[in-house]
Amino acid sequence: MVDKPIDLIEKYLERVKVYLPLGSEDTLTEIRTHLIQMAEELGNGQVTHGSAMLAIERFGDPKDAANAYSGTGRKIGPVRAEYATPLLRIALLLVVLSTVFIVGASILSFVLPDILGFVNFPFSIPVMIVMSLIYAFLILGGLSYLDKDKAPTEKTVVESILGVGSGAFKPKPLSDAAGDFLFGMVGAVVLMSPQVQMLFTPEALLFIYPAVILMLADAIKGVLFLLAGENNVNLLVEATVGVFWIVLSMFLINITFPLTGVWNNTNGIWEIIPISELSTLVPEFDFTMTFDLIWIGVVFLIVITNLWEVLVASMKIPMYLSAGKGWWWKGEHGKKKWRKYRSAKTSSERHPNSAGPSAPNY
Amino acid sequence: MSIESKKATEEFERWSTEVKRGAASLAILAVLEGQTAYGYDIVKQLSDRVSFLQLEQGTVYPLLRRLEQRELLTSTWNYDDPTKPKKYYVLTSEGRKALDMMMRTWGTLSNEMKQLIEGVEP
Repeated sequence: MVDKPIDLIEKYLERVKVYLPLGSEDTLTEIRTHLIQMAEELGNGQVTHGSAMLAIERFGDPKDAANAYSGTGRKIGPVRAEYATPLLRIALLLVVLSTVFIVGASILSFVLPDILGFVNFPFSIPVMIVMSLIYAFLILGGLSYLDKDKAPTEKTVVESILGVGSGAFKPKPLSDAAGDFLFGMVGAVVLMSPQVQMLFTPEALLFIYPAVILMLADAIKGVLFLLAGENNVNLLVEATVGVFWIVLSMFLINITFPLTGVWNNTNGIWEIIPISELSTLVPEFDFTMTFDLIWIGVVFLIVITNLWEVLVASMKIPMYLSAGKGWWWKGEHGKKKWRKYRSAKTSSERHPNSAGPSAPNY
Repeated sequence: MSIESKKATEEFERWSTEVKRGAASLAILAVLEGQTAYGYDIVKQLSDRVSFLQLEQGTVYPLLRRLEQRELLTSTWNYDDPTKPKKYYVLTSEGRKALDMMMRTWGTLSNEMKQLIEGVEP
C-alpha cells in the first residue's frame, strides 16, 4: 500500500523522535509544521509525494536533526551520540522493570534464582542491566547491517527497537483514567456491601475498609487524570496511592485466600456455597493451595502495577520540574496512535503555566 | 585534486563552519529584531537574505531553541491553523542587548579584517 504524502512526514518524525529525549513534543510539532510548509511550497500549494520527500531530504538525516536539538556531540563515551538517548531510555526502562520485579518479589518473599553467582537482590539489578545492554549492543550491531539500504522515510529495524522506551512513559490515556474511576467506585461500593462482606474471612475483613479507602482514592485519581491529564500533582497523587497499596499488600500477603464462599442462586433462592465444600466434590484436588496461589498472584499484581506507577512518577516529576512546568497544568492524555491534528486553540487560550504546546501527542 | 589543494579545501571548510556557527545566532537575532516570526519564516528569511550562511534547515530550529533556553528569545504557540501549529519567537530585552553587542563586535571585526586582508595579494 502506498503511503499518503503526509504519512511520509509522519514516518520521518517517528524516526526523529527515536533519538530525542523524553518530553520533546514541542520539537516534533515545530519540525512537522516546517516540513508541511516546505512540502506545500515545493508542491505549489499541495503536499505531494515528491515535495514531501524533498522537504524531508532538505531537513536532513533524522539522527543528525535530533542530535542538533539535543546538543550531543559525536560520541558519548563508547556510544555513538545518536544512540545515546534511546539507549539511555532503554536502560532506564530496564532499571525500572527489573527493580519493580525484584522489589515486588522481595516484598512477597519470593526466592529468585542467583544470576552469575550474585546472590539475589540488590546485586542482581546491575548484573541484569549490564547483561541486557550487552545483548542490546550485539543485536543492534547485526540489525544495523540489515538497515543500510532503507529509504530516508522508512523506519529502520534499529529505530523500531530503540523506540521501545519512548512509548513506555506515555501519559495515562483517557480510557485508563476512566477505568481507574469506574473500577475504584464499583470496587468500593461492592466491598462496602454487607452481602459481600459476609463472604470474607475474619482476617480479611480487617483490611476491607483500608482497601475501600484506597479504591476511592484510585477513583479520585482517575477523575484528576480525566480532568487535567498528566501533571505533577496527579502523578504525585498516583504515586502516593500506589505506595499505600504496596503497604496494604505487605499485610494482605500474610493472610490466606480471603473468601470463604460464593453466592449462588438456586430456584430463586440465594445462598452461600462455602469454598470448603469444593473439597468434598473433588477430594483428590488441593483447593486450599490453589486458592492461596491465586491470592498470591493477585497481591503480586497489585504490588508490581503500583510499584511501576510509583517509579515512573518519581522519574517524571523531576523531569517536568526541571522543564519548568511546575506542579499543576492542563496536561496531555496518552493515545494509542498520536493524533495528527488537534482542534484550533490559540496560545492565549492555554493555561499560562502550561509548558509548551498541547501539540499532537507523540 | 592534489594533496595540497585537498588540505586547503579541508581547512577552508573547517574555517567556514566555524564562521557560520558564530554568525548564525547573530543572523537569527537580527532577523527577529523588530518582528515576531516562526521557524519556517525565519528559515526562509535567512536563506533569502544571507546566502553565505546556507544553514541546514535542521540547524536553525536547535539554534532557536538554545537562544530561547538562554532567555534571549521567548516564544508563544499559535494554533490558528490546527494542522500547522506555529511557534512564534520574539527578542527579549536580553536578546536585544546581546544583538547590540554582537553587531558592534561584528562591525569592528569586519572593518579590521577588511583592512587586514586588503594588503594581502589574492
